[in-house]
Amino acid sequence: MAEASSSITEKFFLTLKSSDGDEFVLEESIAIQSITIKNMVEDGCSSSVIPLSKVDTETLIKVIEYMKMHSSTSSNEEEIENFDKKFVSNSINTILNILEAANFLDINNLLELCAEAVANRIKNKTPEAVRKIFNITSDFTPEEEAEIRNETPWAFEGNLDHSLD
Amino acid sequence: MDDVMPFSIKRKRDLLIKKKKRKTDDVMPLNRCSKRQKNLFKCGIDNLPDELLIAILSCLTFQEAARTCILSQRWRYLWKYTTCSIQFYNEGTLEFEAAEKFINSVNEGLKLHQGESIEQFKVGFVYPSISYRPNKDTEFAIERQSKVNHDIDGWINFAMEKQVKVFELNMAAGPLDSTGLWRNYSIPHVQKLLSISGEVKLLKTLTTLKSFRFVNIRITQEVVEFLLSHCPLLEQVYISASKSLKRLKVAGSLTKLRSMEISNCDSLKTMKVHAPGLVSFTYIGRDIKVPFKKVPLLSELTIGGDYAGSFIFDAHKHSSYCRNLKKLKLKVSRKVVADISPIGELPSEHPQLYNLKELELDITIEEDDGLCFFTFLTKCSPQLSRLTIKGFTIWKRKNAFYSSLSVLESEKWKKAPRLCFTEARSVKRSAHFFHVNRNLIHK
Repeated sequence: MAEASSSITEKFFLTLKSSDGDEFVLEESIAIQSITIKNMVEDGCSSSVIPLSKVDTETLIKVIEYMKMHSSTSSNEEEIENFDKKFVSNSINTILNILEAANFLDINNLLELCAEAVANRIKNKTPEAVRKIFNITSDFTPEEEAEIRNETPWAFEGNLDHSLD
Repeated sequence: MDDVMPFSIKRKRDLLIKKKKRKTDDVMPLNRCSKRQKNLFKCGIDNLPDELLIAILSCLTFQEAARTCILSQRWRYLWKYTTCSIQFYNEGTLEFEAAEKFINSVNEGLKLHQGESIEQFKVGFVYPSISYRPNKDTEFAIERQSKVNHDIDGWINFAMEKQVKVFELNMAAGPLDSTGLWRNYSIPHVQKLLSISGEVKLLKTLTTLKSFRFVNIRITQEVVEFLLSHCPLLEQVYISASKSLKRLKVAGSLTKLRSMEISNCDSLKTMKVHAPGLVSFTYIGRDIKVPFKKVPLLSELTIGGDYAGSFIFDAHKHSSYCRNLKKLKLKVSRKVVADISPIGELPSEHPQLYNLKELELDITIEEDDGLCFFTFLTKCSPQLSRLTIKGFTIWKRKNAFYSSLSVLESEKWKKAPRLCFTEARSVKRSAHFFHVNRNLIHK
């Protein structure tokens, strides 16, 4: 009985538009993993195209892939785990873009996944290595740097990794 | 326009488009915009808003997060706002100066934290007792001790203010395993605890606390029971080496409680455990009356000390909970082994381990045939699929070693359990273990 009624249930689709102007059609049940989209749907914006001005096409494709994999109807746990593992091996800049998109779209799991992935590339690294990995330019003088290190000496103890992996 | 594009970029773009076209059933734009705007180069971590950088830092430990203060001006103070796990561990030393330095760095570190909440608060170190100090100046030592107690009160207050979910205070995190040499700290009684953090704040934090762990900390029955009755979400409780815990009653609406350990609390005389959701329990200590009253889900048990002796020799006392056990670890002390060795007789009753799948024997045996004794446990475990023997020391004669194992081998199991040896001290003989192990599996 339950099965019969669910097959009759009409599927609703939404159209998402990236900042590059590309449009993607997605099942509503998948798209509302994004709280931002969910709110828009509830406010009655679902009939027209939903513009996502802060998400470019490349990033949106990744986000949709993620949402499809993590939607309640599909995929077993192992598949999801493998997907996530592969997902975080994207380049660091891609991950950062997805992180920002996940924040804008309010997809908490994706946000956590990306934040963790970025954190993993900071973990156990020397500050010099972190700067190189993330392309951060130091604006401290050597004297200032020594002074700052002195404020929290406990933070710089232990063996740190110089590599850029 | 394509003509002026450098070849590499053009090729890359073509590839990208091609790649997308291939995956039509996957994720594909509905109508590609003909006028493709070139993306601004917006990559890079420094383009993220502060809140996201803090979210990233919150996945690191406090120490790791603090290390980012040196990256650039932007990162100078961000780490102070993390909601991460605050962990300070000083495991390497028993020296007085090192302990003092450690306590100061914890104090300094905590002062700098500005975030509203933290997930975990874990501190582990050793504060050496007076005999370990350089000048044995008693007055100085007493003064220092009271300062340290005050500091630790402050840490508890800090954790409660930040609505911590996992709290751990370990004052035996050193390299040795003898808690007697170390000073410990007494958790204040309930009234003082309430006044330190403020009643409203403390009770609010307790409603979200999921786990607490105290090692070599004096904590009384009153405080533990207070915590148990005010933490509805509690999943894990771990108390080790508390000399002031004399009695304990675990009861109330502890529906989430899954795992509990009470170990090496030498003064403990009685314990009662009612916990409908409890799966895993560790008790190492004296031979108290069986504590389990209502634990229908208890299936993983670790026992040690005299209680393990009682489990072995007085099986009838333990029959109420034996049947459900799936994993059993027996940490058999020298004293229990000494009881066994002169008698050598098997207990008249055997525990009913009908559902036992995994058995681990953590024994210190120097007698060659010590292992033979324990084979009776494998006889009363028909479902056993894994037997682990851990930590035995010396096998004096090779033949005796083989005879022990041949006893194990001769047991008529429906399905031969896997035999594993871990932490065996003799490397040379490990080849034999593997050999025997294989034979057992192939039987």
